[in-house]
Amino acid sequence: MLVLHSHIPYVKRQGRWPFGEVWLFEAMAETYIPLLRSFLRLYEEGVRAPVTISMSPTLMEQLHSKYIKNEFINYLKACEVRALEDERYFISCGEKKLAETAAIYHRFYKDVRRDFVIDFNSDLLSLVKEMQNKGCIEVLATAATHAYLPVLDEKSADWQIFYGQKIYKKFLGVEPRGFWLPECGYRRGLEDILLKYGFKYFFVDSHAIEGGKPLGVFSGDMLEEEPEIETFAITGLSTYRPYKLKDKDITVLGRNALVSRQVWSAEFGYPGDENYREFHKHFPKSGLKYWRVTDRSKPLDKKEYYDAHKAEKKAKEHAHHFVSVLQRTISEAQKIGFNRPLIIGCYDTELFGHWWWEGVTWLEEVMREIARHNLTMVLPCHIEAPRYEAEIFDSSWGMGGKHYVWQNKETEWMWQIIAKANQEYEEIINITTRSELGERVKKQALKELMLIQSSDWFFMVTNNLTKDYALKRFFEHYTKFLRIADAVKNNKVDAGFAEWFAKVEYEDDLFNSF
Amino acid sequence: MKVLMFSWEYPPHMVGGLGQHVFDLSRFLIKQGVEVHVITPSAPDCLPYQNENGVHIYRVGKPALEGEHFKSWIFSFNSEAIRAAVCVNDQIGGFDIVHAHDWLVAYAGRSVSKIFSLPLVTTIHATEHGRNLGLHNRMQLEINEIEKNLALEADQVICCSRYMQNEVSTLFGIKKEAIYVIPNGVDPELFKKLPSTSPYSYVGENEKAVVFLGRLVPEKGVMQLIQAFSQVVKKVPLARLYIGGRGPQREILEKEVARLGLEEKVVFTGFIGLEDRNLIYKRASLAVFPSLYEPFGIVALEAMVTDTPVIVGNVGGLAEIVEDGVTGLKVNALEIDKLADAMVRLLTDELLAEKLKRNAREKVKNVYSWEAIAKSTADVYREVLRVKQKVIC
Repeated sequence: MLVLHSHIPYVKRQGRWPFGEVWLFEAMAETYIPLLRSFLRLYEEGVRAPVTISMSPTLMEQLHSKYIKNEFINYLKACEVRALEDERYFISCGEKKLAETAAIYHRFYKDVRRDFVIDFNSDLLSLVKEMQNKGCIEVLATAATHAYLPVLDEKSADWQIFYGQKIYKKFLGVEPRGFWLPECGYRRGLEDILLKYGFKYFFVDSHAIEGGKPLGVFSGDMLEEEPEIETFAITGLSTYRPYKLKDKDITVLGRNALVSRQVWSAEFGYPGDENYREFHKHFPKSGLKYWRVTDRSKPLDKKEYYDAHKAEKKAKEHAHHFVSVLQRTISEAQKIGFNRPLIIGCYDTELFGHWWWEGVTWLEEVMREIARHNLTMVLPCHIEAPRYEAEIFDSSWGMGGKHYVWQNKETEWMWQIIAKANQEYEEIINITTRSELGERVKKQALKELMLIQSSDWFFMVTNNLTKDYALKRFFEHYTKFLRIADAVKNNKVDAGFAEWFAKVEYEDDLFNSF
Repeated sequence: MKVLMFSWEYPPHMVGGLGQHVFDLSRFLIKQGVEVHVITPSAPDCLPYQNENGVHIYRVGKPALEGEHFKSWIFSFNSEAIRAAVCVNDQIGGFDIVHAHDWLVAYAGRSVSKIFSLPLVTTIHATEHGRNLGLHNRMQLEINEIEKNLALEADQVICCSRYMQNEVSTLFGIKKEAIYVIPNGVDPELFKKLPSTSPYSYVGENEKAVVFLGRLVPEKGVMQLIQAFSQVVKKVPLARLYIGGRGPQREILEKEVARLGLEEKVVFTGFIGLEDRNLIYKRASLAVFPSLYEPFGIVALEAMVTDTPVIVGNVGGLAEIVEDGVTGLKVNALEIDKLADAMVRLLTDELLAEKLKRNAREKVKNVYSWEAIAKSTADVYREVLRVKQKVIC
């Protein structure tokens, strides 16, 4: 089973570049569209390779937005122009190799634009909906603003899941069966909320089921302090099978550590191969990337030119290697008594294409290879009711295996603010406003509250990545929330307020189905 | 015109010179017809709201506690400051301008100005890069980033000296002309009050007292001062050095004093309250501030306003305040012999001391008066408002 988790925080009208909307545009151009294109191609060729995808509501809202669709097309056009200018420039200075890569980019952006505008009708959500209806993919629901649920209070967690489900239904037209816990973040009790809303299954990281040492994936730079890495007790259970959660009527599916590490690991994962495109070095004039990883230990100024053909060849080799790893894993599992072992690989969708440029090619080849070897790709909805019960640990797929990445000394104050805002929200929803505007204002308060809860801000603060943007967003949504709460409490929802409020509604224009 | 001022220091919570600055600026702005609302952290024994000299003061959040995770505390304070700003804004019918002092209130200043569409003025008093002579760890890099974004987002940046204007301009890539220089000031009235009880016992009648006041950190040059002073006592036996203030360097400094056998000649007074400060200046023959880094150097003005001749390090804002041989003496603090010579000169040449005192008094009155500073600041507010309105129309 392949599970791809797709999420972009709400960035619409919250800055463009270097931080903001461009994050979404890059993910759309480099990952979502090429991946969907690839899935469709396989489907048309009769390769049966259904993929499980989770899409965060903030992502769905933005993909649905007319403004985003238009801006995305402008973004693609600008990329095309930059690639073309690069190509001419490189030709003029005799850099044939670079010019070739520029030409590839030029074609790439042109193709993406054609796919998006003509084939997909600028409407990725309808395409996703259609693919789900065909059984080509299964889409999981997730928390409304991708809040890190284990640390959130009960009520907010409930809202996050409730609205996550609601927005899913709005865009995809059906009830979701499965739920993706953001960051695989689980604490005991979350299943009760999932059950309340009728979810049938959810996913956790391998150590949540098997115990042992968590994978501890980490991509950020210097941490202020080392987190405690807990070693979980070995349970004797295995992610090769689904479990029924003890005494609860819900299924839990565990991520397979080995296949995850094979792709993700900074040391020996595929994306670090010398032939692949280097993510961190770009040509200053255009922002496009023309170098290969070369040697991971070398600084950026020691990188060599990228060769797309070599990289593609390598991606295919890696795909074959990956499937051989799968086969070996299966036979190992069979030796210890799992006749039809379930292997679940969970990845961030944006890894493929955006972070790992060749990742889409790799994935497509993996799926073909799987079909060739008579392995079966399954969707969670195909899984039979589990016969075994399990208890699972509080856990996540973040560093340290538990809540450290989102809850630590650097972020403690943010959780206090959220707790305070929650209390305040409780106060204001009970105030009757007796006007259509008043009701809208209260809805907006909830939106602002949920935007503050996005796990992204916490992640960025802990890992010191685009931290100022995270703090700025956190404080801005909080300021809007406070002003709304203040107006409702003091009965000041008047004309002056309305004028200001219209701007806020325009900026933070999501979840309008609330 | 209603101004919302964010400051993490305000009397009685004083760490550096920022609290005094905001205190004086606020009350003198009132005289310029500006309505000032200051939001600052809670302090022990202070009410949540006070009207002091016409300035509205709101104290929010928890008081600063030693040993607490500082960044957490400061960000929590920012969130509470925003909450208070939202309430007050509503009560008074809307602010016109937000004025944020230093990075510690950056997020409150930026958020409120952005969400309420108000112009943002910021005074950068010092930079992390300057304070640490570079950026050496994650915390310092982070603070530098916050300072930079505060400066870049502000509609107007103010610095207290040309030195700081240069520093902010090069560090953050802002055009020099776009940064307004308004000096810091001193109010002579605040230096008149002397302690009523327990007369100050440190300074003897026949002594020639040399005074240093400030935090005991390397950048203040106290080590150099002590070393130079060991030469001074040989020529001026009545000289005695008073080192007022606290800081991490104290132990090392005391060891140096012992090493030089100056225990009888050098007094560490510890923290000095305002009235005691006034008295020590009154009895002092000379004040020395041999800083190696100094964005402004308010201490020099304080000495000047109390008629105490000054010697300062030839750096930063200090170098701009003091004109060598006219309003004081300037030396490179790393040149110990020259620093010693300058002290001996001023302790022995009464005519020179008199001349410097007289000139200094005039200069402080004309240039560093709070009336003038508040007026310039109010002008900046008006200009920023004018530009902002034009942009909107």
